Amino acid sequence: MTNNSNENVIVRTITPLTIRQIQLSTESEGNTFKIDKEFVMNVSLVGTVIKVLDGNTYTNYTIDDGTGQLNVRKFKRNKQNNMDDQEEQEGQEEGEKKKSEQIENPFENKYVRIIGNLKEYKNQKSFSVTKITEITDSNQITTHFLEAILVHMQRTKGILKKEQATSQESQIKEEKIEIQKETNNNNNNNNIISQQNTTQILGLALKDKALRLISSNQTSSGISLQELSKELKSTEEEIREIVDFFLDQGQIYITIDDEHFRSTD
Amino acid sequence: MSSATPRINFKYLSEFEGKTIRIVGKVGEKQGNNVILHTTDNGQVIVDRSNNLEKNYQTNNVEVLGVWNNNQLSELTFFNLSDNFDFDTHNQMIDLSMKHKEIFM
Repeated sequence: MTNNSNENVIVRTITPLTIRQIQLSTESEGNTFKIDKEFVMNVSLVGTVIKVLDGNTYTNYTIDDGTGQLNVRKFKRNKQNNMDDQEEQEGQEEGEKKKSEQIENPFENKYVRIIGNLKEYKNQKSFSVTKITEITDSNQITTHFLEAILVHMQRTKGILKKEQATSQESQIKEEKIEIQKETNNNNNNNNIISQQNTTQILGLALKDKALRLISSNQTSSGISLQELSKELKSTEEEIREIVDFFLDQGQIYITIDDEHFRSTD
Repeated sequence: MSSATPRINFKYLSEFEGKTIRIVGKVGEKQGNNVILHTTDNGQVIVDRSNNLEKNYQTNNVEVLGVWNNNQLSELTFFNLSDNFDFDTHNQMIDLSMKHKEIFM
């Protein structure tokens, strides 16, 4: 992102930061600060309010987030109506006296989330608050610091590794699926082949046995289909196929009927 | 020197002898001016509340800010935390923050 000398940089993101990061940042271009080599304008902080100073045009909060302390300013809308966003909701229900109390101590000693603008003003860091809200779900404290760590790591070590890994993973997954498909096809083919082979082999064995049985029968009526079926433990249909084959070959002949056979040898 | 008051748990206490730290825990037994705090990594810390007795813990989970000395945490102040506070995630955040001390202290 190139920049001239003044405020041509527009950053539309809100960066979660620790106060330490703000304290350590020295790099700036124009009025915009750079933290972890990226321009930051809108910043979110989470910390406790340790001091409130109410002035005419703004309220100064001193925030401590465990990493450092920072003075932030919330400018008042106009001199007559000296109320912050949050206070407006509460203040409407209460009297004047209570309103001024709230202005003095609205967030004191409480955890707050602050969204604001980090700028350089007269060579010093200035943080102007856009929004300050009390934290009611304390898990937001934890998540804020986790987000700050995440963004810090992404900006210093790069976002790509995880995304690259993810895309590599999905590439590898796709390849694996392809390989599996091929393997399955091969397996199926192999299975078919092996089944065919087995059938062929078994078929040959059965035929041999059938022929031997027929040959060994010396009676004039020969061996019957039923006997063959029984001896070979096969169905009559299977035996029928076998004997038809041998009949065609001329190795056996029928005797008293077409269910009795003798070998021609 | 930075004015950091790092968030830690039981196992990092030895690194912060004499320092001001923040520690989150479940409020346990009261023993006179002391309270036992059960930390996010299942440790037990004795909190000496003598300097802050007028304020009472209002929730079951609190973050205590104090000085760690001689196996006791001398409380300076505390913050009430919501009942749904996730100890486990907070504990992991502390471990991560210790790996990235450059942005925390």
